[in-house]
Amino acid sequence: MDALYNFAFHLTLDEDDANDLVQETFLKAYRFIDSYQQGTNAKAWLFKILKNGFINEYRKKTKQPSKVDYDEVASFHDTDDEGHVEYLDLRHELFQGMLGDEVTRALNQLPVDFKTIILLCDIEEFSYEEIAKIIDIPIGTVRSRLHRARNILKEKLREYAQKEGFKEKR
Amino acid sequence: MDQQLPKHDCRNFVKKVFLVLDGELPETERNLFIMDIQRCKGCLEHFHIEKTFKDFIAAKVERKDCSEKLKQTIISQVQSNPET
Repeated sequence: MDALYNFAFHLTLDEDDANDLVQETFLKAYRFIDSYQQGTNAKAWLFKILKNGFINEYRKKTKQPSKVDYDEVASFHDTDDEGHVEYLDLRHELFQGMLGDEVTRALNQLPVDFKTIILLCDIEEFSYEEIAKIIDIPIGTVRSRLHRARNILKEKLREYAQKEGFKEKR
Repeated sequence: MDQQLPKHDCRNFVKKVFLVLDGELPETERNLFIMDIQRCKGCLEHFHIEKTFKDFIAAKVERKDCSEKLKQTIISQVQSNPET
């Protein structure tokens, strides 16, 4: 229940909304328990219900979280022939001095689809296959979106570090 | 050992680094990847940077726990409303 609440909180950024979302998720799960496939990951099933609830309710009524420009994230696997230059490098020394609050704030500033995929992969440690099922996208898109999300998060942390006077060693 | 490995190609590193870090490759393939990157200082360095970043995010992002009150509310709702 803690993991679900944590996910709900990062999606809604509001304790009351997160409470409602988790409550609604468990009640839906209970009501539709017959749709749960025995032997599959129950935690992933609950996360999917929660994610759907978030999309259906909160995106409509609140401030419409920013969406990912999917054209921009066209599969990087088709263009991954550039060697090391392709992805952003954030040196150990640059981010080791950062506090949890700063990292959490940077994550929460990401467009919701990017934030979601980082939460599912790096915080909850779901497999790509499970993530694909939770958010209804192909596994290839999980990979490309994750790659893009991490780069944007690094960029935000780099900006923050530079603003705060961390020295970048590149 | 190097004789068993194909010529090192940094593009292969870019393709696979996150699959390795996210636990998406079978152990044999993962081990080959790790052996392969030992031969390239740049790839090895980038691998450690990416691993540190992933571990850093997991460790630093604030976790919010569900309150006892909410847990009890959900339990009592389910118990009192079996047909919900």
